[in-house]
Amino acid sequence: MTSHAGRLYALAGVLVVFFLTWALLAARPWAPARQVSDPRLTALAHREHQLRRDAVLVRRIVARRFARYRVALVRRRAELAAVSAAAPAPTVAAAPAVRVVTLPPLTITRTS
Amino acid sequence: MKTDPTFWLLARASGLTAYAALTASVLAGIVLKSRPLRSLRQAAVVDTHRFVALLGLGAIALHGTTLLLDRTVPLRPLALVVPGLSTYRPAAVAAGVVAAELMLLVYVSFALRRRIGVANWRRLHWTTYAIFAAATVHGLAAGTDSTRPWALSIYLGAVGSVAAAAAWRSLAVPLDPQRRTTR
Repeated sequence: MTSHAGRLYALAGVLVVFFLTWALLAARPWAPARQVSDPRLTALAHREHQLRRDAVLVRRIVARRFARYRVALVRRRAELAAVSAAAPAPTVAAAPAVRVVTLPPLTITRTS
Repeated sequence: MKTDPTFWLLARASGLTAYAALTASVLAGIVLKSRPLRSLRQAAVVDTHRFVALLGLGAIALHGTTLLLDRTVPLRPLALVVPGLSTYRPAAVAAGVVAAELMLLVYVSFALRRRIGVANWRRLHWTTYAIFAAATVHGLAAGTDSTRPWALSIYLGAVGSVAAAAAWRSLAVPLDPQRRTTR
């Protein structure tokens, strides 16, 4: 007598076992992660790390210098303000009077 | 040059599937004899037992075909039929070839049961244990994954379950009163 349910379960079970085994073998979860073997990539990664470290240092130096510059700027502005407050206001010089004169006509002479 | 591993993966997966199907078929056969559960219909168990064996033979056919198509292990078609012709682990591969051929023989004997006689058919059926043992040896000795813990646990689980079921079968009293009187 043919047992359709039994055959169906058996077929499903065998297919599940087959595909699970296939997936397991293809995935190779027991294999270690692949190492970067290209020396150029290793050098590039090292260079990137170095550049990032240098960028942090440069940013720190620039921030320190800018803070020093701002302090100096504030001090200079205060000095200028003090000097301009102490000095008297400059007097405006009188403009010279305009005089209209009549000049003789312009003559051009040629010797040669 | 990198070779395509598809056939190699298929060969390994189908080999393990065939082993799982063989184990399931052997266990179904033992269940059929000892009948641990009264609710199981004998005809359904017989049919499932035969069908799982057929699925196992299909997986074996896929195993052999993909091994021929793959280049990882150089194998001639004749080496899949004649034991000992393989250059790769000849004894282990021979065990697998013998197991596959005996499994096919036992499966075909289902249909020839009346012609060869039930007693002879039953005697032939006893070779199933030898087939299972040969398949286990083949898997452990020729399989590339047999050293992995997950593969070892599959083999250990299969051997343990078949050994336990066989021991239980030999110790348990059969349910069929007619068979009990004939023994």
